[in-house]
Amino acid sequence: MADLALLRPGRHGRADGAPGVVVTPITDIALAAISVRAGTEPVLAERMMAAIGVAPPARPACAMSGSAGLVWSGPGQWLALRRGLAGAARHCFAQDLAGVLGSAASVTEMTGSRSILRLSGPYARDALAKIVPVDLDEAAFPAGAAALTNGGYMPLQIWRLPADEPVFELACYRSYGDSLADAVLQAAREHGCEVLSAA
Amino acid sequence: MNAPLDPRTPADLALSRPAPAQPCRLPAGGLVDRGRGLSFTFDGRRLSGLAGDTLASALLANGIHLVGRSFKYHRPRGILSAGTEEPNALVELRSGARREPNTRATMAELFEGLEARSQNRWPSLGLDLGAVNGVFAPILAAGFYYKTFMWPPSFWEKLYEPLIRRAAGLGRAPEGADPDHYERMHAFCDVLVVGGGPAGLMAALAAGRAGARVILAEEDRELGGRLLAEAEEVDGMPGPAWVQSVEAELAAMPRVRLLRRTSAFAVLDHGVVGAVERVADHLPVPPAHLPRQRYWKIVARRIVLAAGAIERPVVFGGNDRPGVMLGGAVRAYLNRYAVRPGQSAVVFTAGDDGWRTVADLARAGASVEAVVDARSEIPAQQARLAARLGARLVAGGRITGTAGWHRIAAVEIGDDRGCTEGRGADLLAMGGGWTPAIHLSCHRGGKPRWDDALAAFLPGTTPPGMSVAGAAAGRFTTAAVLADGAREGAAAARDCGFAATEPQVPRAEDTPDARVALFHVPASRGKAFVDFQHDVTAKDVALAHREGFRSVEHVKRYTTLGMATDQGKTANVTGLAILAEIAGRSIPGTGTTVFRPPWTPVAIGTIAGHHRGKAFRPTRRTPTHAWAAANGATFVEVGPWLRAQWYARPGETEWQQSVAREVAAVRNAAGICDVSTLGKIEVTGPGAAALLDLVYANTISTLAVGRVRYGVMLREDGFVMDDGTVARIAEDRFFVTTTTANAGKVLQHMEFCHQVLRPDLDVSMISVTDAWAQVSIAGPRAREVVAGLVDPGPDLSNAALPHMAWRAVGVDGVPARLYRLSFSGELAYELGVPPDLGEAVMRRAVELGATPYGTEALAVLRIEKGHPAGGELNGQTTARDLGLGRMVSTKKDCIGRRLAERPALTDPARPVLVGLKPVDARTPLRAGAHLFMPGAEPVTANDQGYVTSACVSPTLGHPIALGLLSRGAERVGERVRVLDPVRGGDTEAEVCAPCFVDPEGVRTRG
Repeated sequence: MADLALLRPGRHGRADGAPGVVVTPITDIALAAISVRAGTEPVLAERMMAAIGVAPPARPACAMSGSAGLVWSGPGQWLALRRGLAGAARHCFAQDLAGVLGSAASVTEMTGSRSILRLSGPYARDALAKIVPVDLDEAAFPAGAAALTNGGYMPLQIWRLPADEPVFELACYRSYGDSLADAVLQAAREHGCEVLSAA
Repeated sequence: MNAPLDPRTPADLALSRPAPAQPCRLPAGGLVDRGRGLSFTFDGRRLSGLAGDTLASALLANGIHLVGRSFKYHRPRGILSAGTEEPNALVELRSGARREPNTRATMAELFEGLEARSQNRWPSLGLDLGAVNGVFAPILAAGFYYKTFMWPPSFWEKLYEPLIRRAAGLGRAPEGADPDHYERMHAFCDVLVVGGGPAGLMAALAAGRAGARVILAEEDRELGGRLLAEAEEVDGMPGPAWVQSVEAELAAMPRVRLLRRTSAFAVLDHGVVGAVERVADHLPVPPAHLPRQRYWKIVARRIVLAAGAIERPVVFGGNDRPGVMLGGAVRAYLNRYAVRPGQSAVVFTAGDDGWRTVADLARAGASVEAVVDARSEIPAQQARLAARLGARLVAGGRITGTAGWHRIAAVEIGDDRGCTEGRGADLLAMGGGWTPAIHLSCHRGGKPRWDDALAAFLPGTTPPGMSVAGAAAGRFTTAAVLADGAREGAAAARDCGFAATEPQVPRAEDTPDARVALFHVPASRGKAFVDFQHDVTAKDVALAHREGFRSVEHVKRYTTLGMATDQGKTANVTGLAILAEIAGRSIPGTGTTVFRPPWTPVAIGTIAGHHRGKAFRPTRRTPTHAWAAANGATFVEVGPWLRAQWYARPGETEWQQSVAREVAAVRNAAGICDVSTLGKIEVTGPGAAALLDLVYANTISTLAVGRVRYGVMLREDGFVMDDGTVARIAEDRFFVTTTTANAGKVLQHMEFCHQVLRPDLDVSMISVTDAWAQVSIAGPRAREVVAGLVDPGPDLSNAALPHMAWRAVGVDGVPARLYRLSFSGELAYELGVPPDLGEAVMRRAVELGATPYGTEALAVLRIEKGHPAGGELNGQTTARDLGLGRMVSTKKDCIGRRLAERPALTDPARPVLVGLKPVDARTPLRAGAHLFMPGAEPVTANDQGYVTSACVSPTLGHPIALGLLSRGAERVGERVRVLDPVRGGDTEAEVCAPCFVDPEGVRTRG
């Protein structure tokens, strides 16, 4: 992802000690926007289960199953994602989904439209608190939670993977990628930040 | 031979000399680290202190009381307090770009190598020529500037204002850019405790033990508040030891966060509290990975304000002389910093509180010369203490004056029979009682209430969710403060749903302070200061009253009382009391002092955080940005976007050369331009066509699948909002483009129209601006280039893909869309590919012979074609003004249609879009120039319109422009005067149709 040029793999910020924050750019991901059509929620849920193995969450949350998942992105709207697709197949995600969902939803190809960073490590939450005005406490933002928010004057979407350890994924419009990378590196430098190669 | 320049600053040189011992440091005790000596300089003098010192305590340890000159009269000033309320001891710290003026010496933590300088003096602190102002004091009273510099009025701007500006102000702002970093932090909690003294500690303990999420914010570097400053026991141990035990318990609670060096400075809406954490102010230079300061936005469900209280100075003649200190501050220097601020002391009190100062001074080995107690009856125990110390005890006494030059040398004591006597002293500890620090309780319009018994304002109405505990709530014994904190902390936790019980309150001192109200000694000699920092005296308050200022708010503004950087922390209540006394009214009958944020000065940089310089706002980069940068592009900021403006080639020395070449390439061969910044919205659902018919002035529902239409949107008020294209992808799917600037606004507008006006429609909008790398390929050879870019197969002939049509294509097997659209007037396409493929498309298009072009060439091409853009879509033009009147459908309704029919919007005399070319074919026209009839006087009444866009047309070889001209459509061939008085342009131009190149559109359709 050329838009994350600032995220040079390696150690950033505080140099001593174990890294407090680990940042992984997520680039091998296919994305599609799903909009439910009027009155088709039950059908959509059924077909979504068939297509990627999860039903669309009705409230701000994400649902993941293996390499695929859905992140709530507004009433009746979700961002569908799938890892591990390569080449042209990655850009046919919407087309393939639309084939299964039929008239239950409108599907729009979004692959490449987001810059996505995964943040993990013991201080991921503290670093994110410098960017997003969202309460990321265990009770308020448990595993599988999601939010649409703003940070660093950018529209952002954040979700927490369904795992015990707090692992967050932070997405912005692709064009903001460098600014998001800058915001994350600044926020994490206090804790020592390890940037891994893009996955 | 030249001697090498010594790179060391005077402060470096001073630090290289050995520092003298600290003559006023007590041999034992205190909370300073005697194992860690620190060197620092004050006005270039090398001095030493200890870790744990503030600059103020270190200066006092060195016997230095004179630290600055006052704002107006340049009077010698010393250290009044030991905390955040300090009005006097303002110094300049550090040097170069880190130089920071007006720093309170009482809050600046000492560090190795600290450079401090006094302010507001010339040539030196000891001999300050500005002190001559004191001689003119009789005329420099309140309102002096308002009265004096009124006449003659013409003198104000040229003479008075520059002189006053030079004389006024305190401290010097640094000249370099701030080299440090600042950041913002969002935090959430159940209970925010403001203040880490005994009340705050108990509140945090109560809430923390109940399992609530707690944030405790303490302004000092250490928790403990007054317990660090008093020789007092809590729970049978010294105060600081008890603090440590509580601190350890709190630190071990995972849901409790302790923020030291953090001032909660504002209570904002919705339970948000602004706080500034001084992360690295106590270090010479912040470590690379740390910010200097951090701005916390804390969202708290409940707030316990435990900010303590501030001791009030007494207003008497000469109360500002260095060596006159607050009694509580004297105790803090003795007990916390192990510094004896004077050898022979006089204590001036109005109650028991001052007697603690007497005892602590005696224990530290100072000689107490006299105790002046405003009460006429002195408790026997205190009288015995005075006798034992050999101190003169004056019951019903007042200080009526002080003497000394740079430090107090003697005081004049008056008793209740009117006799006066003099006493030598190098320290005067005074205290008129304690004012609860209720500031934050007033920030959302809270009104304090006056308590007669305590002679203090207490919190009245408080912001929602805030309770006040401890001294801030008017509890003045340690035991009461501890109990109050425990109660309020537990109550706050219970409000948040936790089963909280009050912790057991430790044993502590519980004798109420017996006192009388004492604000002012009217019969005293010399200037009696109310507001030290702004040099406001009791006389100034009286003068304001004499001149008719009755409201405390007016008195404040007239005298500037309470308006300095300390916001009158030590002055407001006293000023009010004096005004009440003069007016013969009660204090609450005179007025109330309320407070607005901030509690303490906060640097703008702290609030800006990381967002300055290049990070001021985020930047958006197109999918081909890196390719453009590598290919010589110069970028221009377009809103948040960076776009390639032109691509300079070797040998091109002027940007106009590059642009002319790029335009010629499009007109004669083929060019490629990244247009991904245009807003792109996918509108889907069975209701999509109906919604677009509502939003667009022209009809969209009749558009056939596979076709594209130009569309204009009106605002509700009938003016043009935006323009763009609409492609029908499928029966229930449209691809809409907007201008770059209006992308967000248009999506928001469409969502509004759906959600509010037509919620019945089953339609959804998705921003796909970032989902496509969209490139425009334009020029007579565009078809060849496109054919080489897309996967083989599709018929690209004019018949199969005519102008204003689109089709699905593949690029490297990936689905892409090809639109036949032209902004340039040439045969042109827009190719949309997934953004990951954007750079490859650019690269290959260039290999196929296309010339990359930037926004300048794009602008020239569209001006040559007369297409409206930002200059014309300026929010003041109607569709008719832009020559698009016929697009507004009369067969259907749309947003803005009704108001577009207003008489003023359909006036035939309105300026409409025209083309302009200079009569001499040489003089450039400039956007912004105004249009007049030749010979008409260039006044507003004769203004006929203005130039909206202009360029030199490489195609035509002369300057051209677009403009809005009254009745312009009827005036083709006429001449107008193009006047640009701002930049000095004045020429004549011929009015023509707005399309300069290929008006028939033959090339576009080719």
